[in-house]
Amino acid sequence: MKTKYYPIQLLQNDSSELNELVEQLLFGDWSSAEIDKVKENLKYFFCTFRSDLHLIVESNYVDSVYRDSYYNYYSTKRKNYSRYCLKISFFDTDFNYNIDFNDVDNIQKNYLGYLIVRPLLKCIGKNIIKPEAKVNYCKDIKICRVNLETSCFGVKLKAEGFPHASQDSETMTCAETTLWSLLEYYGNKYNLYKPINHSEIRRAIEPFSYERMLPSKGLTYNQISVALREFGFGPKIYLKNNYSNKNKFFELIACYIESGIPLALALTNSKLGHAVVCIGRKDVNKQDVTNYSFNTEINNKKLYNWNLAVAHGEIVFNDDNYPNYQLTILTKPCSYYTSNEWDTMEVTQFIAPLYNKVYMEADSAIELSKSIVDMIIPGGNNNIIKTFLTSCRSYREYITKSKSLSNDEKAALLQIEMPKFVWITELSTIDELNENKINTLLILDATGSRSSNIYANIILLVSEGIFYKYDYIDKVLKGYKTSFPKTFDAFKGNLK
Amino acid sequence: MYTTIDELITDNKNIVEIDNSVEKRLLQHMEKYMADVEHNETQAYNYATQIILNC
Repeated sequence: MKTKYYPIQLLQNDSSELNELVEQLLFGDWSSAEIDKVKENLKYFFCTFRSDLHLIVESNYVDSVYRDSYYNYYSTKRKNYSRYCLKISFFDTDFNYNIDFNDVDNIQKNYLGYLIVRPLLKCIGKNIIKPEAKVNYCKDIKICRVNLETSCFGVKLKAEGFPHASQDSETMTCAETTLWSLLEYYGNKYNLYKPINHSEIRRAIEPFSYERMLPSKGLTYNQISVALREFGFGPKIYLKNNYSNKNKFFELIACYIESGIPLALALTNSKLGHAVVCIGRKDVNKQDVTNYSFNTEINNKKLYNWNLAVAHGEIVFNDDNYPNYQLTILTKPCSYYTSNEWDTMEVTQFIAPLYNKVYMEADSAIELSKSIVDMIIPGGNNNIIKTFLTSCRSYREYITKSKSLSNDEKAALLQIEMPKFVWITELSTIDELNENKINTLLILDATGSRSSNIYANIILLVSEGIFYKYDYIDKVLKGYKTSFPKTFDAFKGNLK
Repeated sequence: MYTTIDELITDNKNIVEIDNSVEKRLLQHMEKYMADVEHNETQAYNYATQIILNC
C-alpha cells in the first residue's frame, strides 16, 4: 500500500496529479476514452469540495462494498478488473501533511471523511463526508448524520455524514444504491440493524424477482420495501396520487425529514424511474413559516404549519448520479440535472423506513395532533405547529438538558412512561419560535391506535402551564394549573 | 422518591374541563379521515409493483 498527499485544488483541474491518481487505480485493458471518463468523474466530484482541503490517498485499498461486487460479478467477466480501490481521506485546512505521529490531534480534529474510488468507469464508490467539507451551498444544510469507524495512517477515526456511492449500472442501479445507503446509515447508527452488502440485498429480494438479478435492471418500489422489511424495518409506502391535496404529500415528506428519518423517494416521468435518498433540508427562514397556514377543518383556529414551510424550502438529496448532498425542491426534484429529459421528473412515491413498532404513521399523527390542538386547548390560534417523530431516548436527553425547566419538572417528565418512539407536537408564536421556545407540548404514543380510544394516545399535553389529564372517575379530560413555565425550550431537532 | 407530574399541580381544582362531546367529535373526525386514507393505501401498493427504478 502506498500513501500519498495531494492538496485538493491540484485534483480540481486536468493536472498531472489527476493523471497520476488515475494511473494508480486503473491498470490493464482500459481505453483512453474510459480513462478520460474516470478522470472527468473524479474531477467533477472533487470540484464540489472546498479548494483549501488536503487529501491523503492510499492505494491498493480493500473496500468491502466493492469486493462484494467484484467477487460476485466483476471477477466472473472476461475483462480484467482490479480487486483494489483507492481510499481518499479528506482533511480540513489546518491539517499538517508532514505527519507527526505524536500529534494525533492533527489527524483526528481535521478529519472530514473519506471516498473510495473503484477501478470502474463509474468510479465514485462509498463515501461519507461532512457537509462542512463541501462548497458553500452546503453551509446551511441540516441532515441525518451517522459516524462510521475508519482509520488513516493507523489512527482510528470517525467519518461523519450520510453514506453515498454512485451506481456502477451493472451490480447496482439507483434502487440498490438507495437501499444500500439507507441500510448503511441505520446499520451504523442503531444496534437494531446492520450494514448490508449488495449480494445480501439481492438474496433478500430474489424470491420476489421473476428475472435474473445480475446484471441489475433496477428494482420496483415493492422490492425495495420488501428488502427493508427483510432487514427489520416496518416500511410505509406513500403515493402522491392518493392525495388530492399535493401539499399534504409534501408535508408528510417534510414531517419525516424533521423526524430525522431518511426516505427512499421515487422520481418518475413518462420515460424514467429513479430512486434517491432524501436526507435533510436547508435552514428554514422562521419568518417564512407564516406563509404556510391551514385552517383546521373542524373549527376555524388558524395554525401555521412548520412542516409545510420545510416542504416548500430546499431539500437535500443523495443521488447516485451526482456527488453527495444535492439541494433541490420537491416540486422540481431533478433541478440539478442538466439533461432536459429529467425536467419533468416528479416525486411520485416515497418509503419511510420506520421502526417496526411505530404503528401510528405521520398522516394520522399529524391529523390527530392538529385536531387535539384545535378542539382541546383554548389557545394556539395563529401559532406555528410542528409535528415530528423522535426516539424516547433523544427526547429524554433534551429534557435533561433543557435550561427552562426546573429539576423537579425534569424529574416529573422523565418518569412518564413512553414507548421507544413518540410523536411530538410543539406550538409556538412567531416570537417564541425566534427564541426557540414553545408554549404547548403534546406527546402522542407512536404505538397507539389511530382511530379508537383517542385520549389513550395522549402521553402528555401541557399548554401554557396547564396540564391536561383524563379523570377516570368522572370520565372527562381536565386541565390543571401546574408549576410548568408558560414557555420552555423547543426540542433541538433530529437533524444536525 | 422523585417528583411526579401530579405533584407539579399547584391547584387541585381543575380550571379547564373538556366536554365529553369533544372526544366523540375527535373520534368521528379521525375515523372518517383514516377511512379515506386506508382506501387510498390499497391503490398505493398496487401502483408500487409496476414502476421499475433503474436510472
